[in-house]
Amino acid sequence: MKLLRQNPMLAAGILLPVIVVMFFVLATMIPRWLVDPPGYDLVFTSMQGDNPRAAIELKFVVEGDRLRARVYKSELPYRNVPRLYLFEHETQTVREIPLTLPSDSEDFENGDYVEVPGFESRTVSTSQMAPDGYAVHGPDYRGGDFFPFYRSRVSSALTLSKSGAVIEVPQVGGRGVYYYNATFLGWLLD
Amino acid sequence: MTDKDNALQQIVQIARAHGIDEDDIRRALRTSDAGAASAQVRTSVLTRVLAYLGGTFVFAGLGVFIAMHWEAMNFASRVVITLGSGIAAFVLALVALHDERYEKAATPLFLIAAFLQPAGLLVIFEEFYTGNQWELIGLLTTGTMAAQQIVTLLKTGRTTLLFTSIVFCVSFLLILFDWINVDYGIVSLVLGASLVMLSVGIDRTAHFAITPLWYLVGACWLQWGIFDLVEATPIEILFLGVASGLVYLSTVVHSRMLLFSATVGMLSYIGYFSAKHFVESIGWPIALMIFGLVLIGMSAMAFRISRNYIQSGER
Repeated sequence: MKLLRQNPMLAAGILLPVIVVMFFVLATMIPRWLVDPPGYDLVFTSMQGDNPRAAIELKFVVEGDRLRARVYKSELPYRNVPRLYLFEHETQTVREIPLTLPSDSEDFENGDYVEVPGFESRTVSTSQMAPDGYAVHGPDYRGGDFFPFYRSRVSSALTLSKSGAVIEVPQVGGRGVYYYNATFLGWLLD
Repeated sequence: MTDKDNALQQIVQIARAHGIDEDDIRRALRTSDAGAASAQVRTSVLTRVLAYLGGTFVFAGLGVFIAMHWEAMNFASRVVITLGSGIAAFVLALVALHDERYEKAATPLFLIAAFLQPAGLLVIFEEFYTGNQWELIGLLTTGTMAAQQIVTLLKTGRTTLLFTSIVFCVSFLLILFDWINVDYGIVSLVLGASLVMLSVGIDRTAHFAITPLWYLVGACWLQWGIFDLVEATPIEILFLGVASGLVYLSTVVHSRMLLFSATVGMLSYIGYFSAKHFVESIGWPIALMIFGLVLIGMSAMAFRISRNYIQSGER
């Protein structure tokens, strides 16, 4: 303490990052305390590498307020397959929605629709902003390199924001699953 | 002020920082005059070089051993080989500090401990942490290490521990800033400014030997942060102001490393500015020639500043 009083530059060098950290923690936390949490679930897709048995290309679409998948024939042996994820606002967690696909390319025609289990009668809004005011953003692929100390992960998650409160859509399950090309599909209105 | 005055001023500063009095200096001068002393110094240098080489081989052997058998090791073996060796090195370093014969071994032992202990902590956290916020693991590891190094630094006053404390504190802050989603330009600016200020502060203590590296890192981050924030804005020219300020600071604190970083920053900005604004209007070859002339002018200026204001006072 005596050393810090005698050496103000040392004190300033220590205090500066501490003050900035405190400022940003408060700037992040205060809006979260003041703004209501999200009130709607949302669905999004993310590409994951896969080697499916059936030669199928898959695409999730929202048509007429309904979420469905469309299947196409494919010759590629390996491809990135879109997975469907549901962000549940009450628990603020993400879970994957499994989908049963045709097992053989003879079983379907190009562009056939496949119903997503549990979503047959749910209304989906593709608006960026939910009725409660939360808007969906990203992913912005933020990352940084502070050689030789630290190399940041590249964040590939979607974020929800309202009046300064920012919530990052978490990773599904445990570690190791990172969203690649995460794409917002819509808010579930019922 | 002449070179001799400057040198005397430096000697006084160093003597005060290390608690050396007139008698110690007189004795050291007499000893260094004696011919026998120079032979002793040569032997001491040779012994030290061999000791460092030996230490490097032992450490490299340990590293290669760990890398070769890592996949075959179970969790306990991994912890023992990393954290166990790290703690053993740390304890040995503390013991060495209390025995004059082994005091010189303390620095490499502290460095080995600072390398192995976080590796061991990462192994433990990786095994037991099941969440998905890996930043927590990074914060726990660097935070634990920073606390250990700072407490030991306060007890022993070793320069090596100040160095490792800064390394772990900076790593901790980088992960923390990332965790709370602070923009990288701001992180770079804040940590750069903080490191430059810390270096100026440390320069006034007995630990000044470690400051060149921190001046370099701090000035680079500070300039990068400023550039990131003002790039393509009406106040972009502010970057040159900051770089000029660092050149001035380098003369005040007598740091050639700071002068080097600020000059490189200025040159990079001039290169970027010419490429952006003049290449299309005056053509690339002429722009290159003008840039070359600016480069020569800047190097001459940096050389003159170094000779007139820094070299005479540098420690």
